[in-house]
Amino acid sequence: MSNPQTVTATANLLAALSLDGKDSAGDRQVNGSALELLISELVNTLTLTTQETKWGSETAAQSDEPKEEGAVEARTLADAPKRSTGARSSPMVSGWQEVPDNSELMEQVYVKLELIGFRIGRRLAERFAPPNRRLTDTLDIVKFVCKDIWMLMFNRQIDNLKTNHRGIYVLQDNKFKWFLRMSGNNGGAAAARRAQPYIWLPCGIIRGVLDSYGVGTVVIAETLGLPQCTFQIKVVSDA
Amino acid sequence: MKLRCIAILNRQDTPVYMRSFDDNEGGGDDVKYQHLAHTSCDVIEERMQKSPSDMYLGLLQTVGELAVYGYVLNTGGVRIIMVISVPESIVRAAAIKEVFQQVHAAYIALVCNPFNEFDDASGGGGRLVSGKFEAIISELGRVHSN
Repeated sequence: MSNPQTVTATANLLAALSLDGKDSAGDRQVNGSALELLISELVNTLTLTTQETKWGSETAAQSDEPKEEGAVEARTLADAPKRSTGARSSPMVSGWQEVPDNSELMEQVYVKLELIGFRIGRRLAERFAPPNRRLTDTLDIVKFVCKDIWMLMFNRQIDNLKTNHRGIYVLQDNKFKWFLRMSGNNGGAAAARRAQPYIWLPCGIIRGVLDSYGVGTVVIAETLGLPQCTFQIKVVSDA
Repeated sequence: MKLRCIAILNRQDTPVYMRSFDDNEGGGDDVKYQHLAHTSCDVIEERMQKSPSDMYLGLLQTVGELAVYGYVLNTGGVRIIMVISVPESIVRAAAIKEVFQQVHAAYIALVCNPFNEFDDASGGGGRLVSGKFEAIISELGRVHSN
């Protein structure tokens, strides 16, 4: 006879993923602020670990505290040393480090964050694609990002979408959720510069969602004033 | 309805997963199913264009005593092919759709696994390897083997 465990597992899976179009009542839920906390730690951790692995640490004695791990994928941390970040920086809970001016370091962090976002985006697209429709038009896919993906991640939608109908889309978010709790001592421009790494992850997510529909893109983000940020999507190949 | 084979192809029509349920014939019959999968690709493309908003593509072709059904995932890239023995009684489309949806659900769960190396951006795609996924597919094969 069939294994009862697997039968119920399949049934649960189907219900949980609501592929039959019904709302699933048994969804497990996580507090939304957990994501914001995770993101701020993620950027910080990646910066520090990249710094450590590339340029080593200046002090020899390290404590044995295990590193804080969020949903950072195993592959990214595989080359990070398994020790705390050392005496150069204060313990992680004490908050934000100044964005190092080392642009090579930040470039590496950018690559990592964007790649993580890319993988997340691909999975989000598979998991939350509209259940009874296929999206074929690139504009439809971008709209899907603006409405559904943003709603999932930030509980609001993109404020403004512009396109030149020739492969360039500009998404503007005037109250970007992760920026709402950020403020800088020195005012607008410095704070905007420090906030840069936090929008690299959404860049990757957007690119990942578009890629799972077969649209190759380059996504660039910039912020001019803190709660506002703009993502520019440039299509480099078509589905 | 006797389920014979389930295959998953990626956007470039490369098979990334193939599972056949014949246990009374020797090995090497996978070649037959691979051939079926390849020949169905064209039909899939054609059906995809004809009905751009459907995921279930219906009966693609019949070869001898085998019938091939197709299903395209939402994102439009990955395709699922199911081969069944032609039954004596009429097979309802709803039953086939249900099996496809279960495979789809299992696939989503598989892809969401962050340790899964499957990534067809690297050209050609890796093989799908996961215990839970295999268990669900085996279960489907067992349930529909009458």
